[in-house]
Amino acid sequence: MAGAVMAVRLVRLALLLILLTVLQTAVFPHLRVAGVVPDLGLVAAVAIAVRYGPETGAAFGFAAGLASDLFLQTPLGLAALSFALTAYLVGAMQNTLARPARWMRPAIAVGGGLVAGLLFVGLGALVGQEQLFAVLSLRTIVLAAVYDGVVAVAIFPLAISVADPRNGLGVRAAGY
Amino acid sequence: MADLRSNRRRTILILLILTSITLITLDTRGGDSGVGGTVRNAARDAFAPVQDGVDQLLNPVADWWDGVTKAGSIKDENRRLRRELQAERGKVATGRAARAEIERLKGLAKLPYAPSIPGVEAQIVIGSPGNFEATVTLNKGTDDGVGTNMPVVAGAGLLGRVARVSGRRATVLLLTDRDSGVGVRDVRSQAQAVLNGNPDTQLQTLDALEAASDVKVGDDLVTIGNPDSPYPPDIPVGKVVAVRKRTGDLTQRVTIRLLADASTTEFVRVLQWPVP
Repeated sequence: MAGAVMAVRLVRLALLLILLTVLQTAVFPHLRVAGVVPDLGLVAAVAIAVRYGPETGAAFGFAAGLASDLFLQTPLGLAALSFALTAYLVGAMQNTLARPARWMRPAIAVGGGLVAGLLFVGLGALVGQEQLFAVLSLRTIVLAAVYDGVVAVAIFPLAISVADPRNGLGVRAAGY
Repeated sequence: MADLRSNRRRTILILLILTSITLITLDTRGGDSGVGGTVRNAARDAFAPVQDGVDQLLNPVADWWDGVTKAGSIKDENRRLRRELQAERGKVATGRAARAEIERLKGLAKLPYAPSIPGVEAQIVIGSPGNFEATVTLNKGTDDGVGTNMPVVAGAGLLGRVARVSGRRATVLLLTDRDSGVGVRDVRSQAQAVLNGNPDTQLQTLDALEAASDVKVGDDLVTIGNPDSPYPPDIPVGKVVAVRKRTGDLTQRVTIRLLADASTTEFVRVLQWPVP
């Protein structure tokens, strides 16, 4: 029974990943604000890390980052590493605190966006992507993190609901 | 129990980190021909129909969004275009500009430059899904004769080069990408410089231009086309809009406006260069 529940949860998470990848690669490039797009997979990973723990968040972050990597010019695995580390950090910090209120979700997503952006640029520079290491990247990181905070309003409840192990095939609203 | 959980967490994290580092290493070393490149190309081709469908569906929404988010720059662009239009109208009176305009409107198939280079017409499908690169995706790939490093031009001039290509898609690294570099030559003075990409703007700064070079506002810049460059010679790149020289400096600061703008371009031509 536990195996079936786990399998259903994995399928739901895989569908969420595909949906977010379609949105990221086919919809949000049209919805740039000040030249930036949000990282939907990262926001979902942070949401899952906050609700279900750092290891689950990191695993989803890795998968979401890898899906992003497929459509970027930077080395495969760079976004995966950045997203996984960020989700793990956010989840680990969350474990030491009380469960955050709903209104804090955008702030957590902004924080996650800043960490992931800095990791992406820093690790990228280490693996030969020196062009990322520029002052202008800081502006991009901040703006993208703010955009992450905006989309968190929709992505957090969706990701938390989809990743809920108690959920059956149907999706129900998750909340704290 | 808490120790076990903590150990499990650490193990998962270490596994993810090691997997990522392995992927990065393999992809960096293997390039397009490695496992990473193959997986990437397969994913891009698999998503191509979805992107096409969503793109058609979202076109009106995207236009509206552009209007909302770029209202300021559109006004500036309108003003600039009106000024240019007035100038062009003056030239029309002489008849020469009218002929040039007609030639431009004849389309990409008869570009005034690189006439001997065969090309593939393509449509820009979508921009980059990421924040740290200036790229666009074309609806043509290796199946249509597009190859890596081929230059991409729009009606006005050089747009960039093909950085990655799969069967049905090609990703163009724009001149505005930080990883882009192209050697350019001033048509009037023959001075040479390097144009390194600066994201999010059509205004770019030339590097390594000697202070003694006689570059003036209004000069046209074209590609040099060195043998080791992916670009053929004499493709229009930009126009000089500002020159700043300071006494004692070994180089001068020259600002140019790129001629081709991906954000306002729909159709492009991939030049099959070098010609086989």
